[in-house]
Amino acid sequence: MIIQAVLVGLLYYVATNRIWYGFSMLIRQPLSLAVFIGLIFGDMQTALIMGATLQMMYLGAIAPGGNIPTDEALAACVAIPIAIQAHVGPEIAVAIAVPIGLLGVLLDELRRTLFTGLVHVADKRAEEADAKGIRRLAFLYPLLFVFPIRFIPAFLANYYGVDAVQSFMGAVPNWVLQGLGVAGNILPALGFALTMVIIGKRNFIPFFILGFFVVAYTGISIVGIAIFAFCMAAIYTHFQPNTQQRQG
Amino acid sequence: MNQKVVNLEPEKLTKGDITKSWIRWFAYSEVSNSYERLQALAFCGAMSGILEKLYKNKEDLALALQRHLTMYNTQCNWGSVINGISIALEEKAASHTEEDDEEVNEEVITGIKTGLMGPIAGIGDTIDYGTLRPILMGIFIPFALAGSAIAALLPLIIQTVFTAVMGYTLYHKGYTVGKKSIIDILQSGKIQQVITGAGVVGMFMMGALSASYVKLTTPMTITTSVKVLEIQSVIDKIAPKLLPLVAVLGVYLYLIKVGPNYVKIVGFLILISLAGSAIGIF
Repeated sequence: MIIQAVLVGLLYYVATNRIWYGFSMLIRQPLSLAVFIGLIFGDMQTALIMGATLQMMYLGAIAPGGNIPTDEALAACVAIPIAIQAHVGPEIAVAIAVPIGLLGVLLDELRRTLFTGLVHVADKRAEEADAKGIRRLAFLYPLLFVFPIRFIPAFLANYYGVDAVQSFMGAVPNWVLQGLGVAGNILPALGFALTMVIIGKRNFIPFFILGFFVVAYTGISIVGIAIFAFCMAAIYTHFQPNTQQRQG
Repeated sequence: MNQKVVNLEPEKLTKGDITKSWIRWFAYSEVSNSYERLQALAFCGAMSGILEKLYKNKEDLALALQRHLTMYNTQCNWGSVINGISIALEEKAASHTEEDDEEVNEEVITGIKTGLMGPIAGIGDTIDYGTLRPILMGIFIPFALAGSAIAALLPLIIQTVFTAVMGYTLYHKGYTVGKKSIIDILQSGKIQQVITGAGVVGMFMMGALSASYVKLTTPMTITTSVKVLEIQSVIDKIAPKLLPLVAVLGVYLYLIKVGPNYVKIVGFLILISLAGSAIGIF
């Protein structure tokens, strides 16, 4: 029990310390984490089902400007173990994940607020032309400082979480669980809307509507959608005059 | 700045130096992310080895390190091209001689960095996380649901390899392009075309993903003396999935009109869902 909680704490640390770009963006996804959680708790089947369910909810969790809209890694590291141990269904896992993901954002805000201090020390190192010192501030120190911020919450949630959740679930009225499930289903909207804002071209809204209703009416697969998307982009840019205007 | 002693000449940069700088960039990029200057520390750290080789004079090195500690933020995979260009520009600045026609100074370097970081972040997020990641997830989630742990890990593996290959290539490409003339590239309209194309792909994908993954229906009914009318089936007769469409466009409008306060938005969504469930709308 304590060993499993320690392992999940470590897993959450690895998933969120952000070493190596690309890897760090995918290891924090519930689907990836589910495999390791499945190994830790010896129940791959349940872990994968929970991970895949959470993944669909967090598919749009894109982090523009580094601001994560919700912490899908903490949600996975708490909700999947609890679901496995408490033998509850994916709907309950979603209901647990939604508020936990929101709490996880606070951890990231704490981290990025603290790291402002590192930049100020780096200013001094730069004045001294201490390149090595800057590299330590960019890598080693943040990795060390972030350890308690990541490890402790995930460890505690796993150590005390199952009992707490089990007694909690008995007391919570049904509409709350149902409401959190509804929220889990709407949550992807935030990620998609955010991406639309980053793309920043309001006159491209018709492409959004088109993509939406192509799927809504036909139910075509995601690969099919990508084919259409790239062809449309090629056609659109082909008929664009090659101007140097900057827009958006 | 031009008073150089012979042994203070910049060292020649090798391909290995660029690769080493890329490895540092990929390793550091988000580790030290802070609210004040975001990826500045990571960018400076990735550039530091290069700068040590270029600026043998302590004051020059200090100045170079300081100029790369200014606020920086982009998407790190596609943003690799900016690092490559910056290295080339620093190399030009360090070896600047009187007969050079194009002078590279601090303003040029910072200007190009900050000018490129926004649009490239837009392309990168759209392609990597708005398109590639959902495609991979869409392909492998069904296999994971059927119990395949390998399938659950494949998005991680594929995207890690993809970003590494892309990032490495763009880093070196940025360097070679920047050595010639970055200004030509910026004015050729090619970049604009890529941004436009990525915008089309992104918007279309967001629409498709919204229809696939945002789910919202209502169990509400209107009971008349003749029959029970289900609101949802009335809505479906107009067009499918209208409620999810309203949800996404609603959040979009909020983001544009009010601003990106994520915690507030998620909080709102949860509250609305809870309230809706309590009174039987959802």
